[in-house]
Amino acid sequence: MVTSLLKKDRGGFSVLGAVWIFVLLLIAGNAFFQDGSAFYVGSNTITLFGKYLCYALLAVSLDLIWGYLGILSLGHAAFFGLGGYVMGMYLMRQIGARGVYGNPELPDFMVFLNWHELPWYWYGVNHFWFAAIMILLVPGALAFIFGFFAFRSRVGGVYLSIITQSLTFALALAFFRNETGFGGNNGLTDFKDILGFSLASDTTRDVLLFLSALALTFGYLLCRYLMRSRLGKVTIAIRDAESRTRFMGYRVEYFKLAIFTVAAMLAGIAGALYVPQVGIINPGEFNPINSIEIVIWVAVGGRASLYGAIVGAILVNYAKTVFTGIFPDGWLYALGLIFVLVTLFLPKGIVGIIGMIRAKRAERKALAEADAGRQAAAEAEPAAAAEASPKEA
Amino acid sequence: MEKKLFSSFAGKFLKKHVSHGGEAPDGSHGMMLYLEGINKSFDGFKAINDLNLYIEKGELRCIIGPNGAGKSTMMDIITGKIRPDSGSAWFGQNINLLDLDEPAIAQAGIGRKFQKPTVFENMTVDENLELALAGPKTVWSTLRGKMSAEDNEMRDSVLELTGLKDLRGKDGRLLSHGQKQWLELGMLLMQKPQLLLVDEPVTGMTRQEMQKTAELLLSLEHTHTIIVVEHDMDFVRSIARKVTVLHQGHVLAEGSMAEVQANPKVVEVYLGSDAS
Repeated sequence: MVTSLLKKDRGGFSVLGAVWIFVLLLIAGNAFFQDGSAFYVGSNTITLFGKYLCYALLAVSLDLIWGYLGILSLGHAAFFGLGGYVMGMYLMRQIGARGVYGNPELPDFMVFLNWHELPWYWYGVNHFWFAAIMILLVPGALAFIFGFFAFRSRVGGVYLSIITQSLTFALALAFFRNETGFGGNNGLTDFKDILGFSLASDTTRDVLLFLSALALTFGYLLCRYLMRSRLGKVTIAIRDAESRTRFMGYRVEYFKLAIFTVAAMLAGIAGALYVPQVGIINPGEFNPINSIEIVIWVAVGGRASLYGAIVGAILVNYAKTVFTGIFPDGWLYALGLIFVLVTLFLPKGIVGIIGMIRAKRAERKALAEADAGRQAAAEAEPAAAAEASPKEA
Repeated sequence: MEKKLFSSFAGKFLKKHVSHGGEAPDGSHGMMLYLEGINKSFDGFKAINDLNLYIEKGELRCIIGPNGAGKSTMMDIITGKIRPDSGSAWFGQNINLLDLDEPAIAQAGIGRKFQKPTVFENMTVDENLELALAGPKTVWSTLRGKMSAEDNEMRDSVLELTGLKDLRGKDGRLLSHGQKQWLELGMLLMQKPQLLLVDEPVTGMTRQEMQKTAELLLSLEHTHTIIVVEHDMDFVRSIARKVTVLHQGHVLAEGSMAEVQANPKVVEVYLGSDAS
């Protein structure tokens, strides 16, 4: 099934292939070479790339709802954050008595706040299986409830974008409060180990990077499977002509709800893999700016191709790492500039360049043919020009 | 009491959200569509004013009227896009259209062609037709949805009928205006509707294309019930059996084209100035 999904997908095959080669090289460099060797890869590079891959999965999930369904969500980081918080809660409970206050039951911040027992919503997260279910269920449930009301009342376009933005902002405000019970401003941090493996060890980090690549591949293939089915065609139909789709008998709001919920769950997985690698989750993840950045990754990479989102997320975040190292205050300006330039000159993003080149070449060929025989050209050219227009990036 | 309230609520909810209005229209008494005493105003403007319209089973009815006569609003009411302020609308004798929303009405067997041809631009002709295919249209069924041999046959026959066979692999946006009109008619046929609402099917068509469209619609007569809204008088003349003239949201006259044209009221509001 995997091979059949990738068979006609040269773009996705190349991008995922490149990601896997890179991941395996990094892991090999970290695991088999010592510091000082030319091939040695530091553990910081490992976690950095792991972080990029989590962002890439997040971008793929946004592409599903923005690129294919046409809903510009400016609050997608909310689901990423929730997945991350669930993982954070699990990791907090794993600290046990090793915390500063040495309380085996309560995380440090609760002891500090003078709480005497665990709030009910912290029950169960000390079991990994429970946390794993919650990582899917919490973002999924929020997306389902939010989507149910939003799509049923047919809120769309820019209004929906604003509501999604408020959703993530509301979560940020709630999680900032100490009383909410998620560590307030500082969030959850000081993690020690996951499933008994120390988070500080190189091996654990290598495995987490590997798992991130695996999750990205799984997420990509799932989205591609969905979008290649008839369900995917209905999704695109809703994007391009919503009321037409409705008059054909499709219950548009349920399709939106299903896609939106799946995307939120994928974002939750991305967040859950992100937290053990960066070692912290705080309400800053719900900052509206973060959600807007995801949109920019997808726009830069190229909408509605799925693999474009991977390219965009990795490249923009790499640029961010480099740029903030040189000129920390200028990043947001640079990001804005990238967004404007891409919108103006690369409407189909970076992966659209290939399609543009191909279209140019076909056009030139058509022109050459037209020159060769004027007689035939009168009929052939419009057809050739139509063929040459970029079909899909 | 409480239980009854709940069950009626649940029943309505299920009918609206799950069952897709699965029952077929009952046209056994010879009538396919009843619109009675329909009123609808927008911000004080009466778009539809005590509209009564009865369409027989297997009939091909043309509806004409000047701009703003309420033709599109009427279509919107029949297809569930707009709720009337008062009146009743029945599809056959058993389906109350005012209880259903757009997808449920489409599933019950009313297909609509829009005034401005709307096909899915980024999909091929084949894919456009596939999406329109009659059958279950839930999230799960579309995920597993595949074209059966029967479906393919159906699609081939529609391609044949609409003359789009050679264009089947082409994207919707590359079609000419007339071809889009036909594709939309084809999509309508794929839905296997009992009642077709066809809004301005020949705008943007050449004479020849118009003729073909007329033939297509006439070939569907009797097996389907068809309502055509059209501005082009020559076209209406070429297909009409019975014509209804709408004016200010009300039926002004009804009858054969010759009768309607001879009606002094109609001449005054519409035909006199428009159809020479």
